[in-house]
Amino acid sequence: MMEKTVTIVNDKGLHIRPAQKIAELCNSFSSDIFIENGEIKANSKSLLGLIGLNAPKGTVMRIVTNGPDEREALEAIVGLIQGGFGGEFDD
Amino acid sequence: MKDGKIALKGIPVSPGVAFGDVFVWNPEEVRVDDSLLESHEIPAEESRFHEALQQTEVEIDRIRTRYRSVIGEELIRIFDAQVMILHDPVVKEGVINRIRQDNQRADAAFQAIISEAIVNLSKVENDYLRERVEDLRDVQRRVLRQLNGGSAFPLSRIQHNVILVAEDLTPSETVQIPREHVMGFITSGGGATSHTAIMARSLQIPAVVGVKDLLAKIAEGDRVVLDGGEGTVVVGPSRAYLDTARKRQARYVEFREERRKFTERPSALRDGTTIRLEGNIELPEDVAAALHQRVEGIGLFRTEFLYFREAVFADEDRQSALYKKVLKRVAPEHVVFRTLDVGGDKLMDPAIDSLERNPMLGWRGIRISLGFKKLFRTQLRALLRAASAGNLSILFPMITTMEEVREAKRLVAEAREELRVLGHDVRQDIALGVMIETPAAAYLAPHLAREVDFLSIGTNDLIQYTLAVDRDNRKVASLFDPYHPSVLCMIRDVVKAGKAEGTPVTVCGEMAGESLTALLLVGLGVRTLSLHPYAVPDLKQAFSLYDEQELRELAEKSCSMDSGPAVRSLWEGVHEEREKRAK
Repeated sequence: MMEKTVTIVNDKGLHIRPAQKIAELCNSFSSDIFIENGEIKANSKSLLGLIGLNAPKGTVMRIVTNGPDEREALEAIVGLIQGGFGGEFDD
Repeated sequence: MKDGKIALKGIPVSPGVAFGDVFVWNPEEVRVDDSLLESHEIPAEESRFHEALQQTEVEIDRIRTRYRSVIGEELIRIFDAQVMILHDPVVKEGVINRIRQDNQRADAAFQAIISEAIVNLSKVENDYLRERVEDLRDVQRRVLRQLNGGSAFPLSRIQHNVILVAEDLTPSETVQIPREHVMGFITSGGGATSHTAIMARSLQIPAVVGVKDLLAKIAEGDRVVLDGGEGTVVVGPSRAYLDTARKRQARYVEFREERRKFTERPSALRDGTTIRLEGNIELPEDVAAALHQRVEGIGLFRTEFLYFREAVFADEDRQSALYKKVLKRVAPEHVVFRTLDVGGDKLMDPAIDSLERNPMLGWRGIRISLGFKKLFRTQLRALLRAASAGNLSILFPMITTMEEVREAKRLVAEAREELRVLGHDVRQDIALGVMIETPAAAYLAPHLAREVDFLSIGTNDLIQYTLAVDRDNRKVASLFDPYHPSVLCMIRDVVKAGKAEGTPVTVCGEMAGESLTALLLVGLGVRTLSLHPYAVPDLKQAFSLYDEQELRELAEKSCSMDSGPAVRSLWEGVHEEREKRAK
């Protein structure tokens, strides 16, 4: 099991399209991947779970991966979120 | 208002008085089934759920493909999000848990899970997310519709006695109605010949159609009295009005009993000329009621209603077994099976049909059968195999060209040969006929009469195509006129063409089932009518008042007149005077 904390940096926070991006990415790994925002813990392969995190800009979240590709998964997700989704959703 | 809270007026289409509580049918509205599953039903319910998810994805894909160029990539992403929800592991797990542990049905479980998410999402401070609530609602509706067999709430789930109120009902909806629970119909759409009206009359259930602003004035659970003979609907009736309604209902039942006496009489004119009365039916269970009315065989079995209700059309064995059952019950009299007549106003798949700008002039009847050869072949083989059980004829709908007839006959011969190779013994004496329901077929009648064993005039469509009137369109419905001289001349000529070749001509459709128009048809030379069985006693009574010669003269005169309303008043005048004298 591996974990890391990340901060939401894009302006509009974790709305549906970034969440969609994360879920898509997570579904490409076989490890279990969870994201926690305080008390709320979401299966990050679930779009509904992710948008339930209620995470505006500046939210600090913990990402936990567990499985055969846990390292790659963690790096990829952290990269996506910290990179502000490549600025794609800052319109 | 002294009668009740609100009085509404519509078109009276099926006589009788009914009172009870309103059930409002709205195909867009989503309702879920709250009843709990028996434990043995759980595995099937799980696969039903997975299937619905897959079907919904197919549906969304279709929309996405169709509209990609129209709405742009931005909005297309919304559909992507909807598909993701269909694949969402949390949603799936949640629904399956509710099915397994709480014995909830898939629709109730899915609705609960998505509703929960909607509630959570509504609390979120992010506007972007709050707006997505609509997407969740949309996906919820789509999946629930799939779970309910394409509509939001299957009518088959009506479980107590109601007065059914709707915008209008399609044939695929009417077959789902639990007949024992519906005491009356009220619709805002439709006319005297709409499907709702026809069905109500054949079931002898009071009905009023064409009530303006109906859904704004009536709500679920309202108590109403409807009079299908007068076309009135009273909402929230006063006690006094309810009392007189009960009396009227009793009088009507008495009147119907009186009429029943004629059922056992022979079907003949005053001079003894016999008129053969056959029945139109739609489902195997209609046979008993038809025979009870003493019909001489089934002149029209509309197989599309089986198609709408049951998935037998892919299954040759089951289809054949159903046909056999009907043939056996009716033998030695014959049963005329009309091959699948979907399209036009009888929607096969609303998604396909909505693409046609003008479905009545589009892909329907034999055109669909010749296009979907596999479906047609299955039906033909099922029919041919059933033939051994009784006396079977096959009728092809919506013919406009000789090529269609020859192709249909060739496919029958092909199916027959396939069955022979498989070792089935198919009877040789199966009559093949065509519907005359387009002006094209009417003018081809001399040729068609040589090509097939019998002709069957379908008056509803023949009138519609001749007069260019959609009978379900309220704005033009009044132009739909069975007395129009053009229609009468056409029928007269088809009858003549049949006589010249020794090919029997029958008439099915509404004209055959109404006393006055039936008399007119007899005057035009028709000797076999196929009609809704409930009309048999009325017709027998009417026939007994006339001689063949006077009907012939009246019909000849009608053909030479220049106006439908004038023809109608001619017949009404004669008949009124005749009935008075009979009393």
